[in-house]
Amino acid sequence: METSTIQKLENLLLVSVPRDLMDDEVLRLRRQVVREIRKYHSRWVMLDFSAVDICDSFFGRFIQSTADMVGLMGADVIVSGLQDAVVETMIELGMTLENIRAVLDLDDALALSRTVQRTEMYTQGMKALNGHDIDWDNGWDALDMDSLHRDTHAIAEV
Amino acid sequence: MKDETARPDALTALQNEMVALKVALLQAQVLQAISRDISAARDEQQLLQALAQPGFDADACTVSLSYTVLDENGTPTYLETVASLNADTAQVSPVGMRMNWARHPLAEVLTNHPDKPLYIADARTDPHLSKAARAYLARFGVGAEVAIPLRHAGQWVGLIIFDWQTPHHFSDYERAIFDGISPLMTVAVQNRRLVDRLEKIVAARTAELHESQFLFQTFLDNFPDLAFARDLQGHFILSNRALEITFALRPGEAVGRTLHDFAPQEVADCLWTSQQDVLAQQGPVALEVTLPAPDDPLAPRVKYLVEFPLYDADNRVYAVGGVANDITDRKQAQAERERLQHEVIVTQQQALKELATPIIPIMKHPDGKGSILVMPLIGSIDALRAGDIMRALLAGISAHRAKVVILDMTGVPLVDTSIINYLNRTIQAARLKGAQTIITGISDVVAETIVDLGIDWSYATTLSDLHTGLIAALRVLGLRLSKF
Repeated sequence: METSTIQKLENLLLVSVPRDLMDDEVLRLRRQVVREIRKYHSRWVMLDFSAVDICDSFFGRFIQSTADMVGLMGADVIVSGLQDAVVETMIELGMTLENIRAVLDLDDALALSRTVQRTEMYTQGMKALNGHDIDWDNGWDALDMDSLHRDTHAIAEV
Repeated sequence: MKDETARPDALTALQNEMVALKVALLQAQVLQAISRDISAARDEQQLLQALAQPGFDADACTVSLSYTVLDENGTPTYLETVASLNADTAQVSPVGMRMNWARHPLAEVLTNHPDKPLYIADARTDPHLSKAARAYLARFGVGAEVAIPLRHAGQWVGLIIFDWQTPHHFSDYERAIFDGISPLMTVAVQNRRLVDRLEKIVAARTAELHESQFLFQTFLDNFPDLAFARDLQGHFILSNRALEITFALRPGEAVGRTLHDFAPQEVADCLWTSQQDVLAQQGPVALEVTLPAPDDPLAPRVKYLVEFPLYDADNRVYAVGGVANDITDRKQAQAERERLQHEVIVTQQQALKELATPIIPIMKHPDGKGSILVMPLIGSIDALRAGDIMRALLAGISAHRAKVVILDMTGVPLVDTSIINYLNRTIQAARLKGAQTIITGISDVVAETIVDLGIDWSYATTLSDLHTGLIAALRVLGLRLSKF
């Protein structure tokens, strides 16, 4: 495993997971990711799996445990580029990666991190202005049923 | 005195007796020599030459041997001259001449005295002869003649004629030999004629055989399939042109050799094994063999080979025959057909799968920030179809960069735990590809079932119909429908 699989971009840590990882290499990769987060104080960790086409339970646990560790260090994990076959195997193995954001590819991962960051900044700003939290629909949280109904009726009128 | 007179008489008698004995001995020797030479004779000419022995001067006369041709009653019809000796003078009957028996000058006399040689010391005066016969003989310059009839079991076999140009005195000694010739020659000639007849029959049969063999070989050689026969050691005893062409041999080159002499090792081994199988089973064996093609070594030909035992007169196997039919094209056609069939089936299955798992991309974010997919589920869902649905959905998400997937269950009349389970997995799989799932069109029966089964589906976004689902999906993408 080479160090070049982990790259720092501003406050992002981009981890390109290579294919055909042995179990000990997986553990070494995780340790290295955690060490790099500490070094760069990264806000986001992007695990890109587009090179991986085979998945086993050990690998699935690696994703989950890395996410947990990263969360403890105050960063967020975005998993991207899971191939169809890998997804199928993970679902078969019951590894649904609850509480982890998963996106289609690195583009989406980058876009997501940017959106969330902007939202956070805006929320913090509004909080400072108004003195209370605002309910911000960032498109990923539960749908606002009231506004949905409003939209539906608006269409019905047409 | 009496004694003296008696003595010369006795002496004379004794002397006469001795002379007679000597003559008899000479006769016996001559006849023995004739007999010896006759039995060694190979043809009619040699038979006649056997008559010319020292002590029996046949040089001065012309000798001819004729065969009689009999009709169905045993009566001679023709006389055919087959050999002659000393034929320097004008011949009465040259070799090869056929003469009508009835017109032969001696026919009448011979018919009347069939069992003894006929001696004509002087042809001009002989009382046996008719006037016409005398004229006939005179015309050919015949002065004296001996005709020895050859008869076997009362049937005419042939005739030996000795001709002298001048009248001839026949001594007792000569007569004895002529008399002795008759039985010797009769047997020899009879044998000769039998041998002749047999030889003719054999020749005819051989010719027929050759003809049929030629016919057979011609047929074989023009036969497009391989045909051959091998003896128990594997040597070819029969092969046709197709086989020789297959192994790049010249015509007739295969016979006497084994496959190991000119065929590839594996082919020779294979056919040797099949021959052993035939011998073990004592019956035909069919197999497919791959043989090299003479024109294109890269395209071997597949042959359907049938080998069978060949039995001799004692019902023992003495060889193994074989015919090999080229089935390469048939096999290729069959493979092609199977491939096409398989292709059609695969295509149909694919079409069916696509029909069963339709993915409808209905809207795209104008800034390329994802799209919305609709997947209507119709009919019953089993494990196989659930897998197909999941795969189709994952592929659809990747292809259309979908952010929202609307699973429309309007077409699903009934659900059970396993179907809900499959749907859960599908939703989670979609989430791992970065797509959120909205479930729409849950009918009252399905809702009832879900609650009754105690399934917790609160985490799934469920909406009443596709319309509402679409608006919710638009909101997820950050879009909104509005009037203008």
